[in-house]
Amino acid sequence: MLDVLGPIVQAPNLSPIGIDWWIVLGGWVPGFLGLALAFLIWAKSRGDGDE
Amino acid sequence: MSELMDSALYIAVIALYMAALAGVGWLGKKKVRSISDWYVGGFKIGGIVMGVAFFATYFSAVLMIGFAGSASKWGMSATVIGMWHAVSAVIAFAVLAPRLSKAFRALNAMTFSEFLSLKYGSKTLRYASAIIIAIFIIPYTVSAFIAMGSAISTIVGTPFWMGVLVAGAIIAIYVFSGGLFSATLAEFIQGIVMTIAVVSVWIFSYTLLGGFVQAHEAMAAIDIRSVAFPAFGTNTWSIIIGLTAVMGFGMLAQPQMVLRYATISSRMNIKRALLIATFGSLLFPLAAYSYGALSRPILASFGIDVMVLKDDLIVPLFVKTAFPPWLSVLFLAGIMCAATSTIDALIHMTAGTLTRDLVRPASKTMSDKTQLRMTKVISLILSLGCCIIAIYPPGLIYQLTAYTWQVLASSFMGPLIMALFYRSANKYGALAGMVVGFASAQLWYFFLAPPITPIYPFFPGVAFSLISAYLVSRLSSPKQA
Repeated sequence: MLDVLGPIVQAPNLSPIGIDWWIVLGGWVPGFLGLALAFLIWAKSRGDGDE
Repeated sequence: MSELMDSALYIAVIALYMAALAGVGWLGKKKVRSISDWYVGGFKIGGIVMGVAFFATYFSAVLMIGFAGSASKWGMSATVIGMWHAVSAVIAFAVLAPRLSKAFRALNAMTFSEFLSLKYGSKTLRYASAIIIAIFIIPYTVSAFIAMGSAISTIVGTPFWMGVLVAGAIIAIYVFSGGLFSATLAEFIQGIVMTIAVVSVWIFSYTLLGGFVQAHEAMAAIDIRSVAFPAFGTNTWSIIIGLTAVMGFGMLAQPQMVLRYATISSRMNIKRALLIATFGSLLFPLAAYSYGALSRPILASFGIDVMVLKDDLIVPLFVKTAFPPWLSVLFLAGIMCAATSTIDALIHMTAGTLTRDLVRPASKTMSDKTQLRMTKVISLILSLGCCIIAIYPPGLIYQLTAYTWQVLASSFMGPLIMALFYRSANKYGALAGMVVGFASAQLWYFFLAPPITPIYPFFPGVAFSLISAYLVSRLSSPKQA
């Protein structure tokens, strides 16, 4: 398994911002999605007059 | 002469900071009227304050100095660890906090151990969890003292031990006086200062390298691995994946973090805290891991190779070498805020647990007043003890922190999650989850942890804790008998 998956990530596949796509998709995207979800939950609670 | 002026400026900042915290401590003292006020802020802490206090506790000088210093060697892949903190913050406030704050209030629990004990009706759980917390929180507290000592000694030019002792004195001032009220109020102010400091250093680092994309190109020019995700199964790969899980999802079962999100005053405040905590949990680690990674090409331009330096000394040296004095001062203020905000939470929680869950049950006649006094004295003893250990660092900051978080998450994840989501959970299941999680994480740490296998002890520890808590509860529940 190590032999198969190793080469896939050893050669960096750089995104337009100059860092590996694996870093962008594996970290930055989930992080910003988390923030978007937090905003939606907060906005919904304000709309519902949650107290 | 200029260096003397700089040192005087740094010392003035430290003195001002201590005076400000003494003021906050005094303010908090006036608000402490009952034992509940000291332990859980009387369940009256608002959402905005709690949101900032949450990430001020979550991220500390441990991240700003230790993890960021290690990130200079790991490269931009370290930002993956940081970005998942935002996801964990959403889970903490959207999923766990509503049930947890309700349960804490219903049981009138004031410590994490007391919550487990009352929820499951078991004194053994109380003693066992209190002992685990009291022993295993120490490496993490020590790592925060090391971070602060490293920063002060390198930036100000004082001996390392003096920086550590200054940290101890600061902590003692306000935890001793005001408990969770002053701790949370101080954390609110500290959270703002440390965020400004970290974001300023982050932006300045990119500016020094000519911009966002240009900075990444400069990193790639030195070592292409700095901008790549590490190869599967390598040591760096296991560190990145392991720390993403430990520092992200492991946070959910850290007693000091549970106390933060279980003591908010209302549902609306939980939603407010969710938004602020998630924003801080995204911004702060992204900035810290990024400037850590960017320090490598910047220090290289000064002829310094980070790969030959000790991880914990890289960021203080980076700030001292590459930044103008005003930014070094701001960063030093941020470091002090970050270190003290975490240490105070740990000392507050450990002292409270030792007194309320171990000493008090043994002495049935102890009054609330005596209990409060004893908690404060234990806070002082703990601060001093951790200072002394930190003067002779037993390991790198990230190693000490990861060890504590793995042990605590593995011990408490099963009992905590089952208490909130499994109605048939009982004391036998909770005890099994705690013992099996703790033992499996320890055994894995000593015999199978990286580099022997690429798997961190967190994974088997948490998995076994959850499975054993569920299975034993199910098998021992009266309906099944």
